[in-house]
Amino acid sequence: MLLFAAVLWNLTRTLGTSPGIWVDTLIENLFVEDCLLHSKCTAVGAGATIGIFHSAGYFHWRSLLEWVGWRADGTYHVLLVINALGVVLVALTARRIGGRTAGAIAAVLMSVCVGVPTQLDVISDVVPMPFLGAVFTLLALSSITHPSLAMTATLGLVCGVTANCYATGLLLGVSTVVVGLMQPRGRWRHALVGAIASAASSFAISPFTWIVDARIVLTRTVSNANAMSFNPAYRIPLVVMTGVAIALWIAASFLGAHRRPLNVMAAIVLPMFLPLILGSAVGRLDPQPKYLAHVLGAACVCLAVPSADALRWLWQRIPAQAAWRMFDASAPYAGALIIAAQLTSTFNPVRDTDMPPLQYADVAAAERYLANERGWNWTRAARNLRAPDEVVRRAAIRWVPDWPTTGEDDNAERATLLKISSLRVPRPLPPSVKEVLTTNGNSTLVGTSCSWLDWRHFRACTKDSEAGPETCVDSGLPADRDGHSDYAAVLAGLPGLNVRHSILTLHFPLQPKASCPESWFHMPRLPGVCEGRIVSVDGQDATIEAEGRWARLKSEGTPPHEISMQWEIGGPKCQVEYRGFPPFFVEGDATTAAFLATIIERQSDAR
Amino acid sequence: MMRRTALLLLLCLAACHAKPPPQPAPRHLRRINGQIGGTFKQLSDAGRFATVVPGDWTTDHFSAGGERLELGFKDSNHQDHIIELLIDEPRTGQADGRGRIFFYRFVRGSEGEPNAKALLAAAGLIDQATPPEALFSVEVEAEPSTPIVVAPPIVEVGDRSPMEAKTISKTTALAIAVGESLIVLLAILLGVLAPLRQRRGESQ
Repeated sequence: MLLFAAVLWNLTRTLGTSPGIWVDTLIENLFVEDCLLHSKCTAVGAGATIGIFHSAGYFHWRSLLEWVGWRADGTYHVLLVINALGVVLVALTARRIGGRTAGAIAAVLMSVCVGVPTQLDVISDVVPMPFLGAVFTLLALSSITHPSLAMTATLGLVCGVTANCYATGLLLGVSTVVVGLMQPRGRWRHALVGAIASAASSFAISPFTWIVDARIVLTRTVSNANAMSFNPAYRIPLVVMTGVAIALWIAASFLGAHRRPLNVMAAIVLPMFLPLILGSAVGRLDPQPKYLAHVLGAACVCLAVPSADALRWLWQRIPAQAAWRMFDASAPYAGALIIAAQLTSTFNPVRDTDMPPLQYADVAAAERYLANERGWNWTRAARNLRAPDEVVRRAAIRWVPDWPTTGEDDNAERATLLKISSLRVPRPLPPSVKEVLTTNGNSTLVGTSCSWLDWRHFRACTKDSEAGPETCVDSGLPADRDGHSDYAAVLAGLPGLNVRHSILTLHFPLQPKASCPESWFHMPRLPGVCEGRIVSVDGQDATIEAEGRWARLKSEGTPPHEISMQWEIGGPKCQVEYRGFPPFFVEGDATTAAFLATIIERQSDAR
Repeated sequence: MMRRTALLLLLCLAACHAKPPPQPAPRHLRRINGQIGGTFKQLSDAGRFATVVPGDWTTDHFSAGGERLELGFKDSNHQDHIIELLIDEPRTGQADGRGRIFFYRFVRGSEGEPNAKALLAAAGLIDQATPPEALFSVEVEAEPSTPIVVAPPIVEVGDRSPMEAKTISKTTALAIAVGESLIVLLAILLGVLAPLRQRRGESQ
């Protein structure tokens, strides 16, 4: 219990109590929504980067959580709890093999592993895998130390559940058979029962997934070698850790220590580790740490048990041998203390402290402020809420359920959502900027402002090169209630999602008004944001400053009537994921735009 | 005189009760799907326009909005040659040509038969390449509407085959999820309690 509490404390302090905003989570939400609202629950799952389908079982489970009322934060809390439980199960496994010290070391190692590398900062199909792997690991050990066919069959069933959570879990079928063959008596019977249970449960939970995948695998090559990032395996800490664990297993085998239990751990790790290394070596596989999520528990046990043995051997060289018993007895408490004190979190930092990622709680807080204090409704938010990452806007309108549906649609007010370290926030805040949430030393800010742009109407022009023909189409932001419309389609006139290179120019009609005497526009330089520039105001560049980064327009005299901005999608200054949506820029009255630009510049300078 | 008066009266009565000339049926406003820009790009990339316009013409712009498209070329003297493609007949004047879907109207640079022919031929390429589903009818709206975005029926990029798009009912899915949870719970209990069960067995 103490260890469980310590791990849970560590996770909540390190990662927070609200899930991060991530596009895959929003896509999962669509599957859940289709299931619960339209009774159309996917029988096949989602597409994986290597080209197959998987995770149907996980989507059903997410639908169940949503159905009982555990939505964004509730689901995330469940994931934190089961991962904390997974650490405890791994510690128990190691303790049964190598004693308390081994259990403590395994717990510390496992708490290091679960976190950002296993996507525990968001909601995704990878997140339950360390827990399911830990369940499998403990049961696998128990099936050797307390053999029974029921235990072996259950092991196969766990394999089926894991395989339908994330496709890599299917390799536990190999582990099930190998563990069955390790039985002291009736090993072929155990192997057969394990194989049948694994195959039957994998198929029964989601038969169409495996039928479709069989067709895919038999008709074309599957790989993720074209993934956006490609890291050599030896640069990934979890891969290195697992490699060390295998090395220790080999060493322990030679020494004859805990041979059978550690062989069980190796039987869990190797079916995933070997293909990962080999696939990476031949350039067919991008070795992502998440692929090892379900074997981390076994790897930690493989590391912990020999390490504890080594410690014990060293300690026994000390004259005061009774001290070892004291040390061994106190090891679990020491482990819990290390975990609770977040000493392990230094290996598992939040991705970027200068630009803290937004979480569900941030967009929910923004919704509460905009809806309750500024009278915004859903349609207004769909068109007028901005954030550097377009996915944040989608999360705000698709994930947060409480937006009012009635009310005035005022398309002349803009709201910009930013999150920044509280230390970098200029104080005092201007009246138009509200700090809607502070968590873990970060401030979530919403800046509202009048605007001269109406995002329902603009003109989108694209061309492949500076000299090429230009295609222009009237466009605008929709307010489409169907969340599916965010994907695989772009706004009218914008480059397609798979575009390699395109010059996008947006021409915005300006609507100056007396109530909004100035409108400032700023093109930010921010990681993750496509760099653009203001190319003209009324066909001229006289009022454009800082080489296209600023335009400060006034309504007095002859106010301008059009502003044009340009981005080179896929160009050297726009190596970010393009989502078929206009890139981010700051717009608003003088005070708000200046404040937001200052914050963004501070974030940019800090890097 | 009486006869003339009666004739005048009859003519007046006939004029008063004459039915007004038939008005055109109320038109449905049809908006062009902005994705038609892709049609132009495909034709341009394939060099199709070059086969119907003079050799010194280059494609300059293609605009789509509301009920009209505009296709523009520039010649070697930097003169514009522009033609409109309209969904409906022009409200004023006559169309200069007609295709399968669109009415054509010259905007600029159509003087002389070769220029006019080239513009009509280029417009014809767009007309032939435009699928019927790129245009659709909607009721006339009181407020300006936003351009339509193609909303695919699936979540991921690319099309799913019927098998890949297969779904099951909510009840079945939730039952599967409950079953999965029970399996995991059973596994945890078996794993945690295995030593206790063995000790109980030994003591018995």
